[in-house]
Amino acid sequence: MFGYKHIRGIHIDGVCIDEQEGLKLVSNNEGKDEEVNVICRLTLEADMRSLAKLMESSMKLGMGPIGSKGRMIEYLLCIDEIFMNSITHGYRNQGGKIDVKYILNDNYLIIRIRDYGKGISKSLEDGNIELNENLLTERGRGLFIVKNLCDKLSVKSHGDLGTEVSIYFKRGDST
Amino acid sequence: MNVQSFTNNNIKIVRISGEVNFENYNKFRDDLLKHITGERPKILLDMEELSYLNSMGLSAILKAYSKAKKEKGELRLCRLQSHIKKLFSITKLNEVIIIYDGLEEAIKEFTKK
Repeated sequence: MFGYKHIRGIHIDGVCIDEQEGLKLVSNNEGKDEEVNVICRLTLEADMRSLAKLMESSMKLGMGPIGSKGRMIEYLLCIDEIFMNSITHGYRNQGGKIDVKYILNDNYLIIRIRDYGKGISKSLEDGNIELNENLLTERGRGLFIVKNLCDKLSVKSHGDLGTEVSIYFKRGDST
Repeated sequence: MNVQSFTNNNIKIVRISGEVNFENYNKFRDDLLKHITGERPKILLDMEELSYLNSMGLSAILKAYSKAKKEKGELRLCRLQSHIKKLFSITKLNEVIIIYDGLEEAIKEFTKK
């Protein structure tokens, strides 16, 4: 379905560090609080190559918990949009690091995407994400789409220290 | 991603297939705009084979819509997959751009105009 390139060396249930590809995946049982539920961590460069890797790993990790094909597309689109926001708005295409965590609890698969670039406007933190009044404007829909596709969205601005976005998808595999 | 066109009843039908993502949206926009030519163009985007569209892909379609309007023409859409139709609904672009479920219906209605 998605044409993103295959990634070598990913083992979702184990520990895999693929330095050649610049990709780090760590399965986790060591954290605290919700960290206990972290099933995968990625540290990625803020570039298109990493986006392709992210989509591939998201596909693998989401397939079970998300459930339906339609929901999978929405889940991948949300990740796609937020990661691109980090590349283009957070780092203004100048590069940087982006940390991604996949957290699985009883109810949700949560994807937490953290960059260390220019933080998003504080006004967007409380879910106050609206469409531009001019519907024909060419930009500024990504976050609004994400807010409307996922089950819950949390946006935290760290000012000059970046932005953390958590996208929640209800599990389709737990009834 | 592929963009091809043919003409039917004075309507240019532009068939889009594959995925429009952050890797190829610039090419998609350029390819699409190349098809908006002539005076009062009537452009129908047939999106049956389009499997993925992100916000930048939406922007490219809007750009093509604006270009068609500028030339005193119009751009309409048909046969959107349900998840893509949902994007147009979320962003209220379905209130701006006319969307048809079927191709024949689209050609019939667009020809009347």
